[in-house]
Amino acid sequence: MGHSESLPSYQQFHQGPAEEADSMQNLRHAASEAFQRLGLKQRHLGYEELGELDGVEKPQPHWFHTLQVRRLRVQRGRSNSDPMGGKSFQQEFQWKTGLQFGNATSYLNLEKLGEGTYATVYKGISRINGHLVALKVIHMKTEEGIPFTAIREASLLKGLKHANIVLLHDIIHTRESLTFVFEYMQTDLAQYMIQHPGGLHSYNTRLFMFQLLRGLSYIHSRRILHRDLKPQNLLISYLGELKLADFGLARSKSIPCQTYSAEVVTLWYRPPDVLMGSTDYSTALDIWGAGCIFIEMLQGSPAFPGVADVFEQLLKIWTVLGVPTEESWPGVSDLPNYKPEWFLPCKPRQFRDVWKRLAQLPYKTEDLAQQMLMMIPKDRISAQDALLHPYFNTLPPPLMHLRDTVSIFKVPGVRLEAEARDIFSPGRRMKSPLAPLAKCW
Amino acid sequence: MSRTGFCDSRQLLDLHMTEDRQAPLRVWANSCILRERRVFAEGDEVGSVHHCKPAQESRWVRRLSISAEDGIIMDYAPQDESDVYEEEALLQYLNRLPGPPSLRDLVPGLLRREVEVAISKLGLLYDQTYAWDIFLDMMRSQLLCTLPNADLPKPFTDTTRAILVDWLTQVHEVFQFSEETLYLAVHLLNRALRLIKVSISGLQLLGVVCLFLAAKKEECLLPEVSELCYLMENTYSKKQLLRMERRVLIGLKFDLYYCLPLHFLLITASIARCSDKWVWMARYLLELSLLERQCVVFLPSQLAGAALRLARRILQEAPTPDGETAWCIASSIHIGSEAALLSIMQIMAMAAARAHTRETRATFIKFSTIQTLHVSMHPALKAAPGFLGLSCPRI
Repeated sequence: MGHSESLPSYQQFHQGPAEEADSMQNLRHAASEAFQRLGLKQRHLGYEELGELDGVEKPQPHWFHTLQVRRLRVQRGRSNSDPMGGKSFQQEFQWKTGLQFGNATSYLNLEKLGEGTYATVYKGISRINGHLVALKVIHMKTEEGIPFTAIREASLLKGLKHANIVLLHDIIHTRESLTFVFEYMQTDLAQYMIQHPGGLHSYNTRLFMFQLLRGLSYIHSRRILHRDLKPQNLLISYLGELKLADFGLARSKSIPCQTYSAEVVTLWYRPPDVLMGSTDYSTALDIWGAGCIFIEMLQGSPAFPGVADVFEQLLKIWTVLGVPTEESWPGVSDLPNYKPEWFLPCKPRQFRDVWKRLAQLPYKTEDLAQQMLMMIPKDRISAQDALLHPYFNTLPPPLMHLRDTVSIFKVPGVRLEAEARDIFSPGRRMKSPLAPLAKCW
Repeated sequence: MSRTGFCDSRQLLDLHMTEDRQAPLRVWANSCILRERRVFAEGDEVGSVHHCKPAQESRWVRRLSISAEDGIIMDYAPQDESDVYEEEALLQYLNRLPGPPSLRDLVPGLLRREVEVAISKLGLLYDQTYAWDIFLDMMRSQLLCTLPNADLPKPFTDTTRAILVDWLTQVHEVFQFSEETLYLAVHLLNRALRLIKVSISGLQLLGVVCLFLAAKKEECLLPEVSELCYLMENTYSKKQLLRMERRVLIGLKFDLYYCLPLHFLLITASIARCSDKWVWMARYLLELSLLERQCVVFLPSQLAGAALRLARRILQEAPTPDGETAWCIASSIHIGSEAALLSIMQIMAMAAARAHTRETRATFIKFSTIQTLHVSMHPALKAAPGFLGLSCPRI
């Protein structure tokens, strides 16, 4: 999406513009002849025909189950934010005999939750069943149609049904906008970690990790990579259910370096092979990200917080894993951005020396972290194998046999422990600029 | 053109790029025969296992009659039971499939190994751990990728559809899209034609929108809307195109999944150790099937299997024992009845025999280049229907 503007145009990627134009020209003529011979196409559509096209479009398809509800005349709740851009209220809210899925009138939006790269997210409430929902209003780029990220996200999520993947309830389309209706999740891992600084409870970390790996294992076995794992994209419910969200980049053939607003995407969770320009994306890409998140949950601070650029990000990684050489990583010198001369040689260090919290925990914690943060992508453990790692032995055995759609919190005895520190707990009154987040809990 | 991100030009379809041959197949096959004997010695055990298979799964059971008639020298063990069941126990905790018992019970362990190697070789995913899961997922989900019947809505005929697909093939070539995009676009078109009412004047617009959506799903570089309009001689405005895009997306309920026959073809070809020429010939036949209305009712794996079989008949390469064994294993991927395979082969053979004389020749031309080993010019193609007992069309 967005990073199209500054990029070279299509033609520069292919043959010379002249040939290009030639072949386009030919194709155009050939096609028009063929189509005209068949009477497939009239040169110009008259006004009537345009009207007819419009007419066909009018009925709104509803592919979700329709609930017949008492005819309601409800004033829209007070709302500071309006996905319709404040106009055409009457037009948009034509009252129908029932409230239906797929219909904009079935949801009220309450407040703005955040601004994504290609969408704005609102908290909303469903007037069909009273459930809270998250409304993701897609910014329509009028020039190029529906953003491809939205198309990918919706088409992927429609095929995914899992307790650790965010659920897409409904898609609403009106003339002006496109809205995805997701289940509402109270918070995300980033906020949760802000609320509980200094590292999370080790048991909670285990539960979150288990769910994260469970979700990853599910999507990986469906040939989908998430590609953009970070705490902000891991939603958490009040129970502690963790769900993968934001599949806009999933399965795209590349990872963007810049978002729509030219803000640099964080490199913290990106593996060294990708930072060095490898394009052989594999499931190991997501595993590295999950490993970084694992350390961050335990430690309370990001594993590799690079600040400026790829160079600094690599430096952070090398200080822990050591600068790779052709011996330690066969094939590394073929990567485009492999520049060992830029770095002082350093030896790999023990994880427990780098991240002190690991030293206080049993060895298997460090072992799992180590297996996830292997330098060579091929050596990294798969999500499936990671779930069988001894680190998870202390969890109740039934967790291993759940069906896809069953949350781990359905197993008796599984629940989140109280965190040691909570900046919002009444016990320790702290003045914090983050106070508004308290409403999430 | 705008791009969807930074392009990596990894050639997904370059089958023989990373061709490093595995252990000779005969080794696999021999070990397999031994196991077969061992298992069959304990006959009742096998019998009981077979007995408890539900009837509805019988469609997955492999059949070999055509291959046998082709001169297959050996049958191979239907299952490597013990292996499969150990795996099963390990995997059970994770992915309990709802519905009927999993395919794992039915597909031979040998095939499993081959599929894993093939998938990772093709770069469909770089992690072998999931190769088998992915394959099972493909096998399951392809069932959702067929259409109930081959009828076209009223004003459209075979010819109009063929011309549209042919034109889309050309557009797709001009933009240098991947083949996945073309297959997906035609699939979307097939579905959209049934779901959306378009007049005959809107058909080209619908076609282009399907290609546009497929590109948005698959490609790094997207064409601009104005370029697409230009290709249609500005018959339609940008606004019309974008409006149609929404109609199609909504009509398809945002479901853009397609289980590509091309992937099945490449996996099967990789398992069967097909020669380059064989693979190109099969790809040509498979792409010709896009033009044929009747082909929409068949499963992607059947289309791929039929293309490979027909290509094999046409090329008539001298069989080698290794090759035969490999082919035998690979052909267990095609599911469904022999009759279905045969009728696809007949459709393809007819299409191939008259490809060079038809108006819709984009595919023919595409596969006549040196890169594709001139497969579409192969002299035996004209006689292809003859191999299947059909009379060749008069030209």
